[in-house]
Amino acid sequence: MSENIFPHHHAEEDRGTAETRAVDASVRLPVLVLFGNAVHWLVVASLISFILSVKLIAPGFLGGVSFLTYGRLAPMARDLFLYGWASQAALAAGIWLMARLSGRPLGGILHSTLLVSATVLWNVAILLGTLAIFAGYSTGVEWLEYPNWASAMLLLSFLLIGIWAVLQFDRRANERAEVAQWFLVAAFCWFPWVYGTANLLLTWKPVQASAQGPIQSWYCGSLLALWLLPVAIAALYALMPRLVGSHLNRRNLATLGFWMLLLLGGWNGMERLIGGPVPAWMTSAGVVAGVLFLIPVVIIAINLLGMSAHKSADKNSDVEEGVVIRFLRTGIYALISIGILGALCALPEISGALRFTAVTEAKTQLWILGAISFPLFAVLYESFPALLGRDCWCASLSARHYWLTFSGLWLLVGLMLFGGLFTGLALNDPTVSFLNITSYSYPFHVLECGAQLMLLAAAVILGLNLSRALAWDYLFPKKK
Amino acid sequence: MNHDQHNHKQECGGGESSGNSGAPLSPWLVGAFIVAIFWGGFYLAFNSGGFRQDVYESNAVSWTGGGTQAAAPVDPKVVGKRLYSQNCVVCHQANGQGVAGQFPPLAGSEWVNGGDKQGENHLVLLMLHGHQGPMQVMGANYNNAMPQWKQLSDDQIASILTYIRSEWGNKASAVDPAFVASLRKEHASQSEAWTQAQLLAIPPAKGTQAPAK
Repeated sequence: MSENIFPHHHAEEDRGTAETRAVDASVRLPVLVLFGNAVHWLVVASLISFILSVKLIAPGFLGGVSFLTYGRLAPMARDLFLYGWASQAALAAGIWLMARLSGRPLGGILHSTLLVSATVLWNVAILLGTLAIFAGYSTGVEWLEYPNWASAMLLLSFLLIGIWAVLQFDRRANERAEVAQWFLVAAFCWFPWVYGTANLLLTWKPVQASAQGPIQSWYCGSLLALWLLPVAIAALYALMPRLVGSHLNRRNLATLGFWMLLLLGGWNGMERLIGGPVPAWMTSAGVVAGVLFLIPVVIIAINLLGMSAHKSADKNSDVEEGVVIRFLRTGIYALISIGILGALCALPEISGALRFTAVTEAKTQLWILGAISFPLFAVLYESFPALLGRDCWCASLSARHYWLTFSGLWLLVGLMLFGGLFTGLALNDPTVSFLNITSYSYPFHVLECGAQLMLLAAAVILGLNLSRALAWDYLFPKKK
Repeated sequence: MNHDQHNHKQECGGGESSGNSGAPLSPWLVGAFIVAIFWGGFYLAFNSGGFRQDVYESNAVSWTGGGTQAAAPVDPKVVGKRLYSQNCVVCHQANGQGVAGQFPPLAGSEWVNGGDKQGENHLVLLMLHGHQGPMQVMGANYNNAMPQWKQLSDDQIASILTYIRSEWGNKASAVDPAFVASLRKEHASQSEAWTQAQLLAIPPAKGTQAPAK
């Protein structure tokens, strides 16, 4: 019964069946540790992003210290968002969702201990890798800046954590896998492959220079579209129907969306190499993938947005919408924006004008902070009450976190889009001098600084809410 | 939340209808997907550069694979000019005039232009192994040393020689890399720089290289 797997927690005693309680208890510690560390890195990354946005309007700010220069802080923040926050939260969400959907507890204390040890390894690798970038030992490859030994540690710890999600799938109780489970299995198989291959070919044993561009683009596209996004989509498919109280009617459509995503994901982003020393068919394939990426996006929108619209028009107007479902819905809207923006920016006519502007960064922010982070926040808010066995969230902090993240994200993306559009058009106008163009973008950078401050405040509020929940659980443990 | 009304059609996984195909799809949606995928196929076909690894311009080669704008052959004079300015200008100068009394000129030189006076093989050997001692060029005397250049490839030596034989008013034929290779092999035992007497003792080889363009 659906309400047993993701029960909506209104009353203390309504915590689902003994079966789901056993499943939750088996993954409790690893999921809490993963989510806790992920949020902690999110706060650090948001702080660095805020410092970076100040540097864009006051270039001298902290400029006298070599390890606080833009060139070191920018990759640090990006990698912390990708590996410290998003990947770690995706691991937590994946483990919890897979355990719940499979309906089988993770076997024994040994597995829990192993998972927690691997999580510690993951975080030590992130910490040391970040410090290495801080000290100037970055590899210089975009999104793979961690030194060899740190990336090897990350890969090892991912394998130790991810294997359990795949094993859980293998011993699932329901014979026919759910849509969310397909996406989870694909994601957990994909990350080791792309991360290992990209590191091998770019940092461990670099291939010849002309091949590095396509490999790096393939890695960036795959990391977002084939590891982080599938986990976010799995969260949407797993939680949305149950929270809305509806059913997924178009499984066939979901199948098409799944395979289209796997087919196009790695090619997505190759179009940014247009004009570079890359065979023409690679960039053209990137253009096609960027436009056709609309298909899986439209499918998710039809499958899940239609469902939630149907429900809200239905009857429960008196029930206030929970924070979980608001995060899920905003995640879908961010995904739709990515689909439209990505398709437009893939076309050579448009990318020619906007490729080297803030529009590209707006797209990346929509991916990482929007379509990926929002569903992960939803899983975080949904899982903690179940794992801790009580309504652990402070409702006003949760609501504030939602609104600050929501407004911060859309403000940031909107400013980058408009600022990028202006600079892009000005860059293509030979009568405008470059100095003028930089002065056009100045007001946008000032406002972006405010948006980053909102996102930082949101991350801090989430951190407070989470610390409060964990401290409460530590001080007053729930009796078994 | 209570969804007991749905229990009859749920498996233990829940949340999904148990029918395999689900609700019928809108024909408009299917049509739009098909159009998009067809567009993708055509776009890729017409902008693929024939799926060749050496074509970087998406519209340079048609999708049938044939094309006129495929990678053009390298012009040896362009390569030669680059190599000349990297290796030779210090002594022979960018204008090919050399330095009076120290480094002989290349412009108008009988050694460079070869022909019946000094064979093309003398020029190639001079380049490969260098030259030492007194030397007469265009009636003037020089006494200096030119280093060996056999560390350069046959292609590079042929490009440099083709360049200096066609620049500054020189109008001699191009030098074939195969000709350089044959001389390199023939005189592999030569370890020291040549003297003028040694070079002139070797009979001029004419007509062994590709005709002038």
